[in-house]
Amino acid sequence: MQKEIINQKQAIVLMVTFIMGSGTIVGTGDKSGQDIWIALLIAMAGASIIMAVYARIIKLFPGMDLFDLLDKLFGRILGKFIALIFTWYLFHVGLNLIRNTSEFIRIISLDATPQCVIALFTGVLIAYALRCGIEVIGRWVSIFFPVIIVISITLSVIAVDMYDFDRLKPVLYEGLKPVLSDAFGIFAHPFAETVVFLGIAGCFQKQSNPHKIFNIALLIGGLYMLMLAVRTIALMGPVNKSLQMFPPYITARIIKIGDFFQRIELINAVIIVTAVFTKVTVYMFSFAKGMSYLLKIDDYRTLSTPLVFFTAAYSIFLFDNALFMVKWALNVFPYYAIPFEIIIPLLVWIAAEIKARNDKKTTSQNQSTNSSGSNAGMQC
Amino acid sequence: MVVLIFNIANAFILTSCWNYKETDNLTLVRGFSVDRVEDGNYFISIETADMHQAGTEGKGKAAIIESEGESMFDAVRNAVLVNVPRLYWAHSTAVILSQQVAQEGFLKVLDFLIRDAETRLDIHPFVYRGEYAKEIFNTTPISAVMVSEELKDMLHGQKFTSKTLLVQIYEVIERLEGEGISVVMPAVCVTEVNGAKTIKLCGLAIFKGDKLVGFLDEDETKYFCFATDEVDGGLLVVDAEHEGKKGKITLEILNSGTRFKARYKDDEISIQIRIRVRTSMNDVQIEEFPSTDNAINDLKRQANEQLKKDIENLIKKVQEINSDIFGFGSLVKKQLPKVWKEKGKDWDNNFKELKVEIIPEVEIVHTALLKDSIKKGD
Repeated sequence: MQKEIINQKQAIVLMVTFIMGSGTIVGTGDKSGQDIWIALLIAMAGASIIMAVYARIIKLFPGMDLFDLLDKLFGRILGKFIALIFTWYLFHVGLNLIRNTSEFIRIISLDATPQCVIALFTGVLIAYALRCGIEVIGRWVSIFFPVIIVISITLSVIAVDMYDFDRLKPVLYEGLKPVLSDAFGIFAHPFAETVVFLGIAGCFQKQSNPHKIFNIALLIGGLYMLMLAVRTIALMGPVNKSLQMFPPYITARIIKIGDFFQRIELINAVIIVTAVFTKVTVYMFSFAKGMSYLLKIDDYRTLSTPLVFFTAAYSIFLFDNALFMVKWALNVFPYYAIPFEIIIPLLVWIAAEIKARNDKKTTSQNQSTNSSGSNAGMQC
Repeated sequence: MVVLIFNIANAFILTSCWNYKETDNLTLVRGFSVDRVEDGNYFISIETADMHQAGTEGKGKAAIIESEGESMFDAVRNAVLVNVPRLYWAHSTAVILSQQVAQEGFLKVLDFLIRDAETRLDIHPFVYRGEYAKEIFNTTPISAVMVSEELKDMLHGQKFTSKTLLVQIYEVIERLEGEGISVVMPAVCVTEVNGAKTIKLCGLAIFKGDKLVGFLDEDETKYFCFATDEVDGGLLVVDAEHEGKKGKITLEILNSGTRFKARYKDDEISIQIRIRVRTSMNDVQIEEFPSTDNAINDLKRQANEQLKKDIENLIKKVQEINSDIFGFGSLVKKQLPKVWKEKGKDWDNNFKELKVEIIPEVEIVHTALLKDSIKKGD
């Protein structure tokens, strides 16, 4: 089987777009009000720790993705069990994301279109992307990434006249508690969501440095979120931010220069849909891999299309209404994600460290038969 | 191949527009007024851009649609009963509330505007100073084609007078929900110019919560703008006195900046407002007013005193109405968060007794084109 590889730059860009993803729809937490930037910085600091763990796992066994690794570290049964739990997470979050997108499109513009149609066509797009493979997605993202960044920065800069940074005051009025609560939310969603990249780590170039990938992605993605949050607050104030269903989008609605340059929210909607599409694709990619591992199918592509359509169809039944969706994303998800984003990676990391040490010992004992990592990179 | 054909077919057949709206079938709403009629229904009068008659000449025409309903949304949808093409709200720029609606609370009306996906948060709200807000659309705007457009343009002309305030819906929400700050909206009234009825911006409407409690006239609005750092231009008319001669000297405001400082001492909050105004002397009505340093400094002093007195009077008036439209409370919250935690709960009473110190610093940068006053030599 041909092995797909994305280089370091593509991996970084993919991860940054992934981090931008759904944060651009429902925005960041709504408890801390004007202190959201502090929450973001705390979340970034926290995320850098857990991301170091993810990167370390990839570094220890380069060219292997999580599912191969689980097999190797925990044996067939326990490995499969953990893989099953993790695959459930991928599926469930993928569901959420498709629902987010279709709900967003439904509320902002296509109000008479049945939601299943929107979800279905999102599904078609993702299935097509998966068929093309991660290389194509990597290249596609590196083309679109500069576009997103340029548009976002332009939007923020042209609004500079409308900012009132007084709205960021008072600092820490309600104390540290809501800030920490939001920081935890942002940490889980989107920063620590990069755990998904463990599932496709097999596609990273072997010589690329995973630490570098995660750190740069965290920095750029974090700064982007920071810009978005500060822009929203400085423009509309914390009250409007917590009131609105989709704050970043509404912000773009207000931004204008005179009578000439206005009503530019559609550009923002394009960014949102692009970023979320990338995110869902990464999730679905990982999900397809997990399922193919569980069902012992060599090529994930065999499964990708039916899985994506299943997810898209199921997304319609996930929530009763949009309100619940946003509440879930902001209030429930962070806790729900702990086992998948923290506990499983930590377990894998510890096991991987031990395994790597043992392997080293065995290799030094009988240097002629180098057994470790020989099958690494066979599958992707 | 199948995928390819499928995708191409897709692009043509399904353009993702389930409920596609042709632009020439839409009626563009530019503005609307809201009244309350006797049976408790909302009566809205909608000014629309008539697209059918626009033609090639490019001269738009306004058409008025009137409709009634139990709720705002109901009234809006009932407009379909009198007008076939559905109204398109994304381009609405002004909403005019009648006094009665404003007194009963504007939130009931604006909730729809804020919630609906089609309307935008940059609509300008107004309060009509008169009986029925629908009267506003019976007037003839002087320069624009539509009343709503004229209203918006007049608001943007604020920078020449500072006698009104540019307010958008999202700012209203922010002020309404924010602590220690109250809502203001520009007031509009009907006046007669050269025999024809036309609209006029006449100061500000003051709210307490979402209920109308009073108005400021144009001059008071100017001082309000000074006290909230909203002045971009306008004039200062000083009742000056020079060597026994009295007359008015008008200063044009080039720019103005206001700095706020909240203080807490001896269990008492005080606010210091430092207003720096750069002006030019543009209109002198005192005979032989010399351009000497002494005379100019004297004029500055008189301008300072007058500005100080006027703003203080305004603050006193607003304190009697007891609605913190200046946002002094939120200023205290921003600058002295700890004090606000204590005093904020009872801000209504604290605001009434709030000490505000005003320090105006009027500067006269130049005297326009003349070096000296014109003298009469008999």
